[in-house]
Amino acid sequence: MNRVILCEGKTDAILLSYYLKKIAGWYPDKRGPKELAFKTREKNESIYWYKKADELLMICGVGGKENFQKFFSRDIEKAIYAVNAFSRIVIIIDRDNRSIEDIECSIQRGFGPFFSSIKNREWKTNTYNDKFGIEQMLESMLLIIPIHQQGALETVMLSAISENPYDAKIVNHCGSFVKQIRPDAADYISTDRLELKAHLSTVWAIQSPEKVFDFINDQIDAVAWENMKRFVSVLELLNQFNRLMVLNRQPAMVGAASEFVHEALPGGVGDDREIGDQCVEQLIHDIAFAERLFPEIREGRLGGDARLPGVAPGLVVEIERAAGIFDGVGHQLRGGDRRAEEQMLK
Amino acid sequence: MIQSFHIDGFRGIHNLTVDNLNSVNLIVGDNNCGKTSVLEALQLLSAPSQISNLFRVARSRDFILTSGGVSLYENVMCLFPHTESRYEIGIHAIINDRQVDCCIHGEESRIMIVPEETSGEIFQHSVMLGETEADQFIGSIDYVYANRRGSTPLHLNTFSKASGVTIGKSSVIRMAYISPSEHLRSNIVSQIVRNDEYKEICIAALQLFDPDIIDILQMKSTVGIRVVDYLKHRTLGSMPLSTFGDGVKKVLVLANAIARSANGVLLIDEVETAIHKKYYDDIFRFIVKACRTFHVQVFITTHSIEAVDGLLATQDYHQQTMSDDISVITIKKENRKSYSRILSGREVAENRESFGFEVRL
Repeated sequence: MNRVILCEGKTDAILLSYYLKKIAGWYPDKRGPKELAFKTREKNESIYWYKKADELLMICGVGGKENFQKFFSRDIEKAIYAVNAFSRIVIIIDRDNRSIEDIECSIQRGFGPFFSSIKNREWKTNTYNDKFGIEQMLESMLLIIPIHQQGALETVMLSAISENPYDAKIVNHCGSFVKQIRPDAADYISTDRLELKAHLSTVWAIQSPEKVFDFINDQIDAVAWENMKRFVSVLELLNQFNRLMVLNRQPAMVGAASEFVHEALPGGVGDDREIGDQCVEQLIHDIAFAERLFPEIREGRLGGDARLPGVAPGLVVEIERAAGIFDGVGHQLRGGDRRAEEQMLK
Repeated sequence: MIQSFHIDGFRGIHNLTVDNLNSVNLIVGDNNCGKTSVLEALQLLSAPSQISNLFRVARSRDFILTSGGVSLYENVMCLFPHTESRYEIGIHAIINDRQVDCCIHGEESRIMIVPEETSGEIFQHSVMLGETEADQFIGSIDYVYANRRGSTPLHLNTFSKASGVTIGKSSVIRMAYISPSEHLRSNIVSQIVRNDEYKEICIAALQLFDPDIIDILQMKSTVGIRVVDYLKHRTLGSMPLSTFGDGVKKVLVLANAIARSANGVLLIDEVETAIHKKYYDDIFRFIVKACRTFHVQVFITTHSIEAVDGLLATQDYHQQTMSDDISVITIKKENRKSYSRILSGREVAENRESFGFEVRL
């Protein structure tokens, strides 16, 4: 028979999985039974299956403490009524600043007959009639964490980490730091729960800084980079690199133009790579522009110097003329400006 | 329309109640749970007072016409639930808001038969002479329908035959039954060609397979005097029906049965037989639409989850929230009792999407 554990979030699910694997002998089962192919619907939900001998266990992160009932009634309750999907169910919930009795009452109200008889940390047998009209039994347990104080699973983890005296100091320092900075960071740490998470995160940032940095891939989506000018300018440069690839008919042209810009210009462009790349991009654009105006250049019928291998020799003359922009003088072609060029093209 | 039914005992079914019936009722369940038996029980209700109907239902599973076939007596006795001493069949239903009951009960005993004292027909396949023993059932069919109560005596023994039994004209409700192998043995073209309306329906159904089929004919064979069934094809001309696959024959059977059961009930056993699943969408939409057009309530059994999904797909649940023509009835046996789970088609479709609901179990 199958079992199911509902917990608040992915972190809880992962921690529970660790415990169940290391201590209780459950091992990951990639997909679970095909007749119980539950799927997550929201981004912050998670479902993991585990196996031990012939028994299966599903651990679900419901995506937040407000989502227990919604998650349960959406799929799991239907599966229990329709096919007696589970014989045992556990709900693991953070105590936060509530009383045990309040939590027991809210679970009792929200989970129908499956938790009609309920007591923290005790298995209770509840009965229900399935869709065949046959009375079935379901063993249920509510596990409120932590046991003897207010808090959450993070509280338990911090307490466990503090068992080591060396780490206990780090836990204390981090807790003090987060508490101290909270008034100045109210936009980010707006609740006690978030303060607790920040506390644990800070401890781990100290204990394993390189591992913590792995999370940045997930964090990227959460930051509004488009509002940060420094980042936008980098993006614009990436767009210019795209243009470089579009304009470039010979890969060697980019290299040649780059070499020219960085070595052959009067005064050079120094070590500012950003400016140098802008110059290369502009140069390639002008080369293409020049080729459109001057077919002789494209066909290599002009003489010239071979300083830019891969580039038609006749273009060198035009490249040198186009290089006038790098002094900030503005684009010069036949003495005109860019707007004049575009008019000519029209 | 059959609104609900209850089977006290029939074959292996014990104490089964099914309500919340719909226009399309899909009956699923594990092997040997009683799906076909439910259809047979409903057939008994179509004409509960008629012995001919009882014999037809009893013989429906045993269509082997060789001398090795099971006797009528055995076929009838197999309808009774396997209890130790009592022979009782009880089937009850609400049909068009009226109570309909069919209860068959009686006792079995041994009798002595002396061939010289009986018609020789009884022993046409036997070389025994002198007295012999046989099983006998004496009982009655007690029925209720159209506000009438009555009882029909039922006497038969090992040597009883169905031939010569009168077929009554009255029935509670028009009903047609399609067995899984109906398309292999029935000669329905002759029924179809006699009725223009049926014929049009059947041609429309066949055109789901091949839009160039334009007519159904019977013609005299070029060899001998036999009449042969043909389909007329726009490009191929008139082709013998036998050259077409079993799927075409199955569709003919379905279309004809729908037409015959107009304003009544159609029972389809193992709908998926002879139909490739790539045709499920077309065929099932045809069945649902034709049944709606001809006011036919249909009961369908299937083993196939693809057929279940195909039938649910005819309702387009994602696109509409108002109607649901389908009820899905799952039957199971546990501790010698039969249970039913009745879910709406929408609920089954949602559960299948949510967690891969295995509705057949």
